[in-house]
Amino acid sequence: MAENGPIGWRPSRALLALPPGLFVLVGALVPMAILVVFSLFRVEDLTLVPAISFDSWSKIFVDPLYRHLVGISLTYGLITAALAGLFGYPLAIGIWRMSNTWKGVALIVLLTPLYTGDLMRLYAWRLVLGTEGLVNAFLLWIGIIHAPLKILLFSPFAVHLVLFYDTLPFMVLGLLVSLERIDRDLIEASRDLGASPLDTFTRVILPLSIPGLAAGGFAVFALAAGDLLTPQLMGGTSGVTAMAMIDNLFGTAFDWPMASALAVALLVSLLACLVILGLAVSRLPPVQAVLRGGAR
Amino acid sequence: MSPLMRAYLFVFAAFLYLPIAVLAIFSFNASELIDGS
Repeated sequence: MAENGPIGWRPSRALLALPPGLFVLVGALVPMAILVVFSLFRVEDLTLVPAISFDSWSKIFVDPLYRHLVGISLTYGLITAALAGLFGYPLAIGIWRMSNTWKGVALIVLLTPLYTGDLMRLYAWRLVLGTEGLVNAFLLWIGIIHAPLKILLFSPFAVHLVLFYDTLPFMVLGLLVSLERIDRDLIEASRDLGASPLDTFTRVILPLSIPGLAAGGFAVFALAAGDLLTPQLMGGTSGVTAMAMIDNLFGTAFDWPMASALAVALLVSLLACLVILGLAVSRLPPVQAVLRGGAR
Repeated sequence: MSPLMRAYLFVFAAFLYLPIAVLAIFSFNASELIDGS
């Protein structure tokens, strides 16, 4: 029968949601539950003791070091998301306006650097930003500086630059998905009604692309805040983040309860930031207008 | 597409490939060192 689909059977929505639901449950919630359980254990004589103890959690709330490290991670995430949004938006608009052939080429150009691997890119950036690196050599050559700049590498600048470099494609892809869904007739209609290109952009394209901006921003924020290698290899002393501490606690210090508690605290902080940002974005007037339009 | 937008896209393409280009350049240097030249 037609209503039963081409193979005579139409699965219910619950059945269709089962595989992704199981994937999320096993892939995300179960490891998180294990972390929560481990965070309640104790370590005695380098042995993990299964007991209900809130020592690790009390340290998280009492010791300012952990709050500071979580704060650094979140700051890296927020600044990277803002930079990626600011510089990625014009890129996405440029790619969106290309012909299909050039769009394909632009996407290959955008995504190929991601195939080179994290470590290789990081070491390459060290060659670019180091005291004897490409940037310093160029600045010395043109005579702007007379001694190599030391703030280029092992500084927050280096961490932000490389996090921005690593996450930019995710922002552009998120934006492109959103831009591609915009009905071109709407843009044409706004022009027919006498809107200037700036008006068309601010009143049609920008509001309709905010879901993509938010999706890209959330992805970039989570990737940058949870990055371990970039702050460690590019940040020097400023590269100690919550992730670096978690790595140290799980590995060298063998304090799994503390590492688990810090990991859960970082995740909860990330989620809280995402919820606050999501609520803030959804209350922006252009987004409200789109939501109202969508509801009609 | 305006020339400004075109320039912007080219600058970012260069930015994306800068580390890879540097690695490529260093790889030639490294092979020269290995050859002993």
